[in-house]
Amino acid sequence: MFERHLSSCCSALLLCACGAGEGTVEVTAYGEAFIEEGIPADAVDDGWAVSFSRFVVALRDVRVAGATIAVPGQVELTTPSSGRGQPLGSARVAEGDHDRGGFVVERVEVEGSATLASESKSFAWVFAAPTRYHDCETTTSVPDGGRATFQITIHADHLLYDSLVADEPQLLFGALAGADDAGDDDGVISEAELAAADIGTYDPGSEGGIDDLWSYLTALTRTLGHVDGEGHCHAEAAD
Amino acid sequence: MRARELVALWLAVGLGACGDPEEATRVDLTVLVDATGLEPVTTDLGYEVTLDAARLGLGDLLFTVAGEAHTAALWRALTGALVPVAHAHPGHFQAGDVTGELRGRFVADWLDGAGAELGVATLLAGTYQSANFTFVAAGEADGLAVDDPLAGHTALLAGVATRAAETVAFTALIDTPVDRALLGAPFVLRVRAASRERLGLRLLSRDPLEGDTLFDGVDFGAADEDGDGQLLLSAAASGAAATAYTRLARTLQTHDHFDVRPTPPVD
Repeated sequence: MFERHLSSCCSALLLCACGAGEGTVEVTAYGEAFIEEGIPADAVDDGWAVSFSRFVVALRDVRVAGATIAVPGQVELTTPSSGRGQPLGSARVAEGDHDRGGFVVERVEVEGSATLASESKSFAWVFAAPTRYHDCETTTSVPDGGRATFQITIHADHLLYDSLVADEPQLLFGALAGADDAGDDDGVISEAELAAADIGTYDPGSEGGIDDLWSYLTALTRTLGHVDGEGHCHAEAAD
Repeated sequence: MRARELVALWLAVGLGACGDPEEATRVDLTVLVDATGLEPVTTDLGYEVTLDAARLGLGDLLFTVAGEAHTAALWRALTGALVPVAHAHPGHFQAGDVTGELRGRFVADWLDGAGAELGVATLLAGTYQSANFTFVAAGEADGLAVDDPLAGHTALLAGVATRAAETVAFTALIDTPVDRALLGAPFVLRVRAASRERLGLRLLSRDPLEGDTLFDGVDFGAADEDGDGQLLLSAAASGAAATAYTRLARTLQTHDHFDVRPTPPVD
């Protein structure tokens, strides 16, 4: 009797993650209000307001519930979505709770403008720093015959962080605007102007070689990816 | 099948991937201040810099492995440690599983105190790749005199910078954010039960991988605005001296200029 119960217990423990049913997991990408509507001045510590006319992320290798889900090569996140995000793809997966999902952000392209009182700056930047986000902190619960969503959330406000390591960084735009002031002052903040500007009091943490604002912004792009809102992921440079 | 055999089978199936017994071996290794990383350097701006003082307040030296999750899990089980993880978020970007430590506060003095022991670290057997520590503001609790110039600051670097006929004697008092961690200093060592190496914490005036120096970007001549050949770089500096201070403070907080070097034991 005891042996039979123990055997059943062992079997149950070994198989508990393997439900018999199937459901659908849908993958979306969402830039939240900060990308769809802009980052208001009262959210930025030095009073600049930032809006994006284009915020495109190139994605690949999206894995959820053990499945690799086919997604479009890139997605435009400024398109209003009423909070739902942009649909990317779906797959049939086993029912149950799934974690450790992940994805790769291959490239980030941002265009927009920032204003402070009568001052205005525009920008159009492409960051090609492929980043693998994995073991993301979320659980995707797929019901038998039902649907669940795995949302890739992009935090645009990180591009304004004054620190790569502080728990509570400030959001600033003034230093980026200053790169154009020190450059040709034509109202367009270029990659070259950012690359020529020292990061000053911005804080790159332990990483060496991040001395100019372009390198700094590129490093910040490796922190944009999240899941289901605020879920964090492990992040590392992707091949 | 008997109950005992069933349990054994279950443990074998469920825990079979958990590694060899060596992973649980704890090894004690002495950590000391190693001055071999300091040498006169010529910076990108052409200054030849020689140090005559290099002191740093630090705490909680941690040693990390990569790709050895089982070792890290054992460490957590043994110590109850809250191991930092790598997250896509500021404050959590660096990877590495902590499986060794030397807890406490220390003042490392790479010139007058070279060779001094900081303490004895405990590490689990494993393949180590990096070390972390926390910058701390040194003070009386660390054995400093009240009037020690390092008191209240994290680091004191002093020396002479020379370029052509220009010579500047400088003192830099570096402050760091509270609880600022230095993550990812190279520490390459396979620690086994029989390991007896001593671990030398080094400050590197030149990054051995990329060749940049601790003082790159610091324009000593420009910072010495009164031209008296004496320069104090501190958080209170202004003008060109503030620019120089910011650059030096930033560089000092990178993992490019520290490592932990195993050296053979001394019998």
